[in-house]
Amino acid sequence: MPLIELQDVSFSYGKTPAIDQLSLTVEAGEWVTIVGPNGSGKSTLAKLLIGLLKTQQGTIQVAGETLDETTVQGIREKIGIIFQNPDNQFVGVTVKDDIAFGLENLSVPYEEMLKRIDHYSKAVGMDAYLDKEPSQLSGGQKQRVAIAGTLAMKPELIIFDEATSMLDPTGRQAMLEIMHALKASGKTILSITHDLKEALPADRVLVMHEGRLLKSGTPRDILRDEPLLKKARLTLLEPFKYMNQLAKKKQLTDEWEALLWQSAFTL
Amino acid sequence: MAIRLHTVSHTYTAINQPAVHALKDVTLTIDATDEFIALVGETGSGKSTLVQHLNALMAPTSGTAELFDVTISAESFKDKSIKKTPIRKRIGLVFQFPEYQLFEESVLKDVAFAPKNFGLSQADAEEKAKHALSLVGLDDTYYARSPFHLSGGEKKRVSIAGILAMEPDILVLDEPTSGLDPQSQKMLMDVFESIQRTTHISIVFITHDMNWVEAYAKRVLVMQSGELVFDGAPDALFNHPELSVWKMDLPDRKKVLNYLQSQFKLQTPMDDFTQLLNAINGEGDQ
Ligand SMILES: Nc1ncnc2c1ncn2[C@@H]1O[C@H](COP(=O)(O)OP(=O)(O)OP(=O)(O)O)[C@@H](O)[C@H]1O
Ligand SMILES: Nc1ncnc2c1ncn2[C@@H]1O[C@H](COP(=O)(O)OP(=O)(O)OP(=O)(O)O)[C@@H](O)[C@H]1O
Ligand SMILES: [Mg+2]
Ligand SMILES: [Mg+2]
Repeated sequence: MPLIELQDVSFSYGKTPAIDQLSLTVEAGEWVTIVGPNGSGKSTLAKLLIGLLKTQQGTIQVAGETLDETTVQGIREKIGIIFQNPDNQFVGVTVKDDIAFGLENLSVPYEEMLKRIDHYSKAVGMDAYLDKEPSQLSGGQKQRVAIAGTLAMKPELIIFDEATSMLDPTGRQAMLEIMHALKASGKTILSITHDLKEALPADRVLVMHEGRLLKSGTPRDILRDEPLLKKARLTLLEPFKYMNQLAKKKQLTDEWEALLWQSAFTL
Repeated sequence: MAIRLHTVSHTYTAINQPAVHALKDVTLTIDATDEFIALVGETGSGKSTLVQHLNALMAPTSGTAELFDVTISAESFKDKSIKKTPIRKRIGLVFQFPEYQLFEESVLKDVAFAPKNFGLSQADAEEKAKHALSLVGLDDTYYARSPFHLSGGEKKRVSIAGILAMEPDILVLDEPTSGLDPQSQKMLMDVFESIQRTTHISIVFITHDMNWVEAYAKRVLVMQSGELVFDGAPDALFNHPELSVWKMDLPDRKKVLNYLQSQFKLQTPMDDFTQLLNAINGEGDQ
């Protein structure tokens, strides 16, 4: 049974559909990266999954349960989301309260709560900021706190909606390591991003376009497909430019392909 | 010299909070024309705080910011006779979070607000707004929409258009490419570059993406813990021994070529892939 299954889902805010008859499945434990142009429906999809928006057509199932008014509460406890704008996330007066708030809602015992606040604030490098107000943080610091708050709830599925867009190179790397650890512990990851480097370690890449799925495939399939990337307003990463350059000259040996693939992981 | 920061420090203070020294003795000049400056540095290093000193949104706690013909200091900032609005028109700042900038009921009104506020007729202001919106890739179907009911990347574009429509003498952009799809990132950087080339205004942009630093910046500033630790050419930064100490990295091209070069045990650094191929095949490698 897939963890998530969308069947023929549509949603529109106004006249044009933001999500247009979308069907897809995500298996438990899968790491899926979602890419696509601005306005292609990525955040809308995320909001539909957590029941913040209601499908106008079709059904969404999470762990076999159909998402509706009666199930939304239970399903939300399985899903953690880091919103595109971290300001939309904060409820606490301080960073510490903010992380605690989500845990209180889950009735996590006090001792355990303190432990998790400590652990996750350290994991994102924000343990020195626990007494700050979220509004007093820099852009990247806000993103890190939002990530800590969500991870502390230990959800089954974590949706990252451009959660690393304002991190410095080191912070972005650290976040990828956290995602690897999540994957290793069996969590399911849905990561929305404009940075194709973040698609490299994924099991699968979904390319969205005008509310539909343009393509679903492995990173190897997607990242080299120049016409596809072009249509989705993406650009080839450096190593795949070289791969295609060699392929055009019929010089792309298995060795070159392996080497260039390897080189992509230095990005 | 259009902008001259002299030993600018900024300390954030709040009740029951330890003081945060976000800027420490930053001294820096920016020319009125032809600058294309990238401002980089790790999370929380003071970049957003710094750029808010470039258009009198913030006052130094100590030190002075000379912005064209006005000098802003802790004291003069409180002086009502010193008008800040003209400075903010000449030095336009796009915020890191577009939500802080958007406020009107429609996209067109939002973008036309500044030009109108600065004295243009309704029709002329809308003309400027429409042109700015086309530059950021938003067509007329967006004009009547609420700027709050848009996708993240669309909001970002509106906030950038709002400042472009003001036609400032200096354009300051706080992470203009974050939230945009890759092709739009490039499109907008090209727009900034073309404005810079044709009007000769100076541009300052904050980024975490070294590819844009390499491709567009003529000068790069690095912040670390509130201090300006580097001011020089992008190439000099990428060859700087402290690059990783500052939590910065290399552009993708350099990372990949360096990796390949080490795999083939080649001595000289390569500028592009073709050169690397030639070196491997024993051609042109002196
Ligand atoms: N609150 C809203 N009200 C009306 N329309 C909206 C709203 N939010 C988004 N839209 C529209 O729905 C479409 C999909 O938006 P969505 O936010 O899902 O895009 P996205 O893929 O996340 O884009 P981005 O990369 O810019 O974040 C866009 O055309 C957008 O203009
Ligand atoms: N309003 C505020 N009150 C108190 N401290 C603040 C405030 N705004 C920022 N700070 C602190 O000042 C420091 C510099 O913040 P700033 O926003 O300038 O960083 P930045 O370089 O822009 O970071 P980022 O890349 O994450 O956006 C940070 O440590 C931050 O926590
Ligand atoms: Mg979005
Ligand atoms: Mg900032």
